Amino acid sequence: MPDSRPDHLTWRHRALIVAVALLFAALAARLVQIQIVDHDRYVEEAALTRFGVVAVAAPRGTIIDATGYPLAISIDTWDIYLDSFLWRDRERARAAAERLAPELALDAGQLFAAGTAQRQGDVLLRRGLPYGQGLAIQRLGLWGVRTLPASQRVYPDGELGAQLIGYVGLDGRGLWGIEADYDAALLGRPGRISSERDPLGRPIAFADRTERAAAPGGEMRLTVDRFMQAIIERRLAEALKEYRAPSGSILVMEPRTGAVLAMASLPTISPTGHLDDPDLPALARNRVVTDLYEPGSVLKTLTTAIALELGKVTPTSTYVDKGYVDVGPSRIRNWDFQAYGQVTVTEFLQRSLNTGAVWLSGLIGADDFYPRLRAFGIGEPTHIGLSGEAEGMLRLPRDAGWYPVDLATNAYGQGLAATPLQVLTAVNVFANGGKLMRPYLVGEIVTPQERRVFSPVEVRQVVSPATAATMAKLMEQVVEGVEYHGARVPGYHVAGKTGTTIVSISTGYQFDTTIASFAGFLPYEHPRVSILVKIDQPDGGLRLGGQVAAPVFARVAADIMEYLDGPAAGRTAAAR
Amino acid sequence: MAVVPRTVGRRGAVAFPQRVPLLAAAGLLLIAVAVTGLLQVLQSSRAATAGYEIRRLEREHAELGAEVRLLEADVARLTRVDAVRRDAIERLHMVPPQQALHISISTPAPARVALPSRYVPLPTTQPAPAGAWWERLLRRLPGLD
Repeated sequence: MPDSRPDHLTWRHRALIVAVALLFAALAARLVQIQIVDHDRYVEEAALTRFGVVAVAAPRGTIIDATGYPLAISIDTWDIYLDSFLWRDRERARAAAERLAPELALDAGQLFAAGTAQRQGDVLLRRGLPYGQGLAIQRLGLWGVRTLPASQRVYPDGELGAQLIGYVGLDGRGLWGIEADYDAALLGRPGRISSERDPLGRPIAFADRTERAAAPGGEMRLTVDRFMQAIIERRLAEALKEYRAPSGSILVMEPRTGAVLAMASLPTISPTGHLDDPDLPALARNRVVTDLYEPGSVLKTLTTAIALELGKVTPTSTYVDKGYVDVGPSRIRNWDFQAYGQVTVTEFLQRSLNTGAVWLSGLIGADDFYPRLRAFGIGEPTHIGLSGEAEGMLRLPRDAGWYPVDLATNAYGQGLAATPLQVLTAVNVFANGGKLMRPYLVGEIVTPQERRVFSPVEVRQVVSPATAATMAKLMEQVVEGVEYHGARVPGYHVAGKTGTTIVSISTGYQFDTTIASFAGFLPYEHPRVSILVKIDQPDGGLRLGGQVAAPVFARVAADIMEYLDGPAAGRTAAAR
Repeated sequence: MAVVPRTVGRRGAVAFPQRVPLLAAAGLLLIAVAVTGLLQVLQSSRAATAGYEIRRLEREHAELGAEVRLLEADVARLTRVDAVRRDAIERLHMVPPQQALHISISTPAPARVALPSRYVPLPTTQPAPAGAWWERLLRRLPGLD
């Protein structure tokens, strides 16, 4: 049988050779691509399958007060999840449910139903489980039960300083107050541990391991003293009840440095309250910083200081008080509708006469009055470092809607608006040699990397030391120079000034409601604390600053001085 | 005279086998390989043990850290102003004094210890003594330290 095969390569052979060669060439090219070109990518992908990454939560920084007491602290908790994919194994799931149920005080049947209701994904069973309880569950090693570390923010002193300190949400971020405003400093940076794992996902002990430690959040020390904070909150609550007032604020500062020692407004929010409360925005607002009011007669101190600084008057300068003064078509009367005849500057402040303030504003003039009033910080934010701070409202002669009568009313604290913080910061000038200090709340932030200490900041010299001293003396005479002044504190000389403002509404003024206030400092000789008390719309028959706010000031000041100085024998005996 | 022939050894020559038996060499090699392998096993075992120990210590550290934070929160709760006041009134039956007598003493007040206790400086650890040279040598051997 003749051989039909050709003895040479036919086109079929060549085609086959070319095809095989192309195949091998493609294979080689692919190998080059995998092994050389995309080497790094495949190494990374391989590592991803071999390496597991565990996030390590960074504890949120503690907020402590000036005495070292933690006002806000984070504790460790656990979140418990059920792995519904693993719970497809019904027998093991049922066993796990029966062991887990008593630990969480749940019904095993309901728990089993919850974990098997879906075919995959995790089911959140419990959030914020106490640390010891979660740890015990973790050690049980139950099938398909995951324990993930979490943390919970706690406020050991409850509602104390709730508006100031703030609160954090479920995501661990600050919602308001210091918690929100200093969130970046408190938050910290989560850590991560990347380690090689075996096929069951367990870390291999001696394999490669990279670790980035969690950086805990900064620890923040406030200038606020919790004992003073407790004093003012207690006294404010008593005052609102006594004078049947819906709201009020008290602020305590160190006039020499501008440090805020205590700050409170009522009504307030409970940090353990419900975040879906419709009144939350109103209750959580730090009204000492965010809300404006017309400071009333407290502002007469600033007007007097400007006049003294310009050399227009001395404490013994006089004017004739007729009980009213006409400014253009408007007639301005004293608050008590009385006329006192010839009155000195000292007496004008003691009696808080509106006519005296109008007289001084005329001597000063608008060109000098407004720039100098702004120099006291009225109409500009204090930059205390809290969000929502109001700038204030001060209409200037160049603004539309300003009338000459505004100069007269502004001189006794009507027709302009400021926050309690702005007012007390301005009054502090007289207790601090004429220097305006920037108020501050945070004394120190300590992180693992650095320690930042915040020092007092002098904004400007507003009036000369001599003028400041004269004003302090005049304010001391306001309290100590008259009989039975409500702001007196046994054992100390107090300098201060009352304020009574008619509440302004959108259509004008609500003449039957007032804001009663008092701002002052003590001891007059070497001021250590300054205090502002503001009671909104008292409705108990007493409505004036001297009747309502001054006694509250006296109680707060007495408590604070006893806390600072201790109950010195003679002073205490007199006080009690 | 008769001469008795005898072998006279060369002065200084050492009697040494001319060739090491192959079996002995193989044995030595095997022993070297076995020792090397043993060291490797010891090293791996030690690394594994150290790895487990590190993880155990990390867990323990985390648990102790959590307990410290819980205790700090407890201390803070127990020392809150109204808790102290309530305890004084309800448990100790204290009442505000009708007449107070205050005595001043010249002894300085005790130093205040800030709370929580983690602010108290910890004593510094002293470095361990270096040890003898042979101890250091042993420690350098992998798997035997």
